[in-house]
Amino acid sequence: MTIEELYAAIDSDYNEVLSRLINATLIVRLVKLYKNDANYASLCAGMEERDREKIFTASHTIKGLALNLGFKDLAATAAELCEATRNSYAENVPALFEAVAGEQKKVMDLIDQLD
Amino acid sequence: MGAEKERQLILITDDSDINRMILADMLEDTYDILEADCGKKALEIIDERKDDIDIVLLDFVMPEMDGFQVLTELNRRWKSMDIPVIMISAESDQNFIVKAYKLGALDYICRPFNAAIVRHRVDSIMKMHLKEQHLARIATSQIMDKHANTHMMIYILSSIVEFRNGESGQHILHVQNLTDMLLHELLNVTDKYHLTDEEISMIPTVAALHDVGKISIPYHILNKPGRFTQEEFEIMKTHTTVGYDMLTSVEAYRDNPFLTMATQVCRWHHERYDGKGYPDGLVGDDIPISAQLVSVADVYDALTSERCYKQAYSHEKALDMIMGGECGAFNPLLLECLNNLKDDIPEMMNNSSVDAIFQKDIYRIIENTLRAPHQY
Repeated sequence: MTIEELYAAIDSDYNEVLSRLINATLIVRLVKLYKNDANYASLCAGMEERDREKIFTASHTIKGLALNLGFKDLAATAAELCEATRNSYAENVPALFEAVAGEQKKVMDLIDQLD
Repeated sequence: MGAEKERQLILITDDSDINRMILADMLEDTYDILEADCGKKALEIIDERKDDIDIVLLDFVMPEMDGFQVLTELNRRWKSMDIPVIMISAESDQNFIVKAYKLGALDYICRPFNAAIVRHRVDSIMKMHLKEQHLARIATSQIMDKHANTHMMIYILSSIVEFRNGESGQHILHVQNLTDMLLHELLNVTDKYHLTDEEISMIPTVAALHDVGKISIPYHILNKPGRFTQEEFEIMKTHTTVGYDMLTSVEAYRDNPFLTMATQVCRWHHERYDGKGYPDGLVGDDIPISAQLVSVADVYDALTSERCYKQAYSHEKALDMIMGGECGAFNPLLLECLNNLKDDIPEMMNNSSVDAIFQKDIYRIIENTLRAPHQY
């Protein structure tokens, strides 16, 4: 799978990312690096421990990373989780986490298929 | 504030290596890059290299120590820190951005990063920063020139008096240095004396002139190895009023704050806090604080130096004597300062040199000069 195909598969715009980051080789490298990023594991740990601050920090960072990498839906779902844990632990946190988990899984599976 | 260099240095602080890589990739063709993966590490790097770093890019949401805490800590550690900080965050809450500005951040770059925007923001701030540094460098060199001459003349003048007294000029340096240390400790301990920046920078310099009136004391009295007779002591005591008269008679500089302070130090550096000193028997804080500071420094150095009439006492013995009231009565606050400094004094005395005092003074002037524009 090419990098363009990966972005198409998650309904995101590769050309938008390229216009911002300019360096095509870098984009592939960063996307592959995302595979090993520790923030999602930290988010899962936060969920298990019901640690509001940990969830907020991890989802905030995932949101930023996803925005930078142009993973549109992952950024949007992480942003919702982030807001739901900013000041208090909202009721719908588990549901919002599931949405992030779904997007994260999609991205991870696609990265595995990258050339 | 180092010399002008070819490539500027940027510290990127972000807990995510991907985000750091993106920023580094956008900037590394023009700038040298340092990276920190957490707030604590950023502070360590800034601590070590604050003279080299030109811009700090700072992420805000980070585990353990966030960007706000880093900014607060930077403000606390370096009141006059002049490294521009640009914050970077996925945060869109405006209150958050305003809070960062209030803490001294100069600009804010929002994720997702766009290479053209990041470059433009960083380049603009860098241009401003370099221009400011350049102007500061010019101002500094002019201040240095001006103060170098003043210091030199005062040192020469006071050394002439010292040489006649069989001293090498070390006494002046010691008194200046100890006065400086006591003064800054006093500022840590209390704000009751309301000293201006100008006065703070003048006190250690005028300290050099405290004994200038000794020029009028006959050589055989000045260098007498044994005890003074009552009559000789009365003559010796006049070095305070003679110094005062000499300096107040300089018509051309009447009302000059530096000279006014020098006249006070000359006249009152042998007053005692309990009113039993000379020449006027002033009591407590009626004695100007400048003269009180010099008085403590003068007594300490007299005790720990060999003189024609006595051996040198050890540092510990000298402190005991001063604290125990054997060598006069001093302001309790100054005794507290002396006690706080007791472990640092011997090393300072060994390192007293004209250059060291001059440099300390210059750094202070530069810091004061540069501090003003950075108070947002």
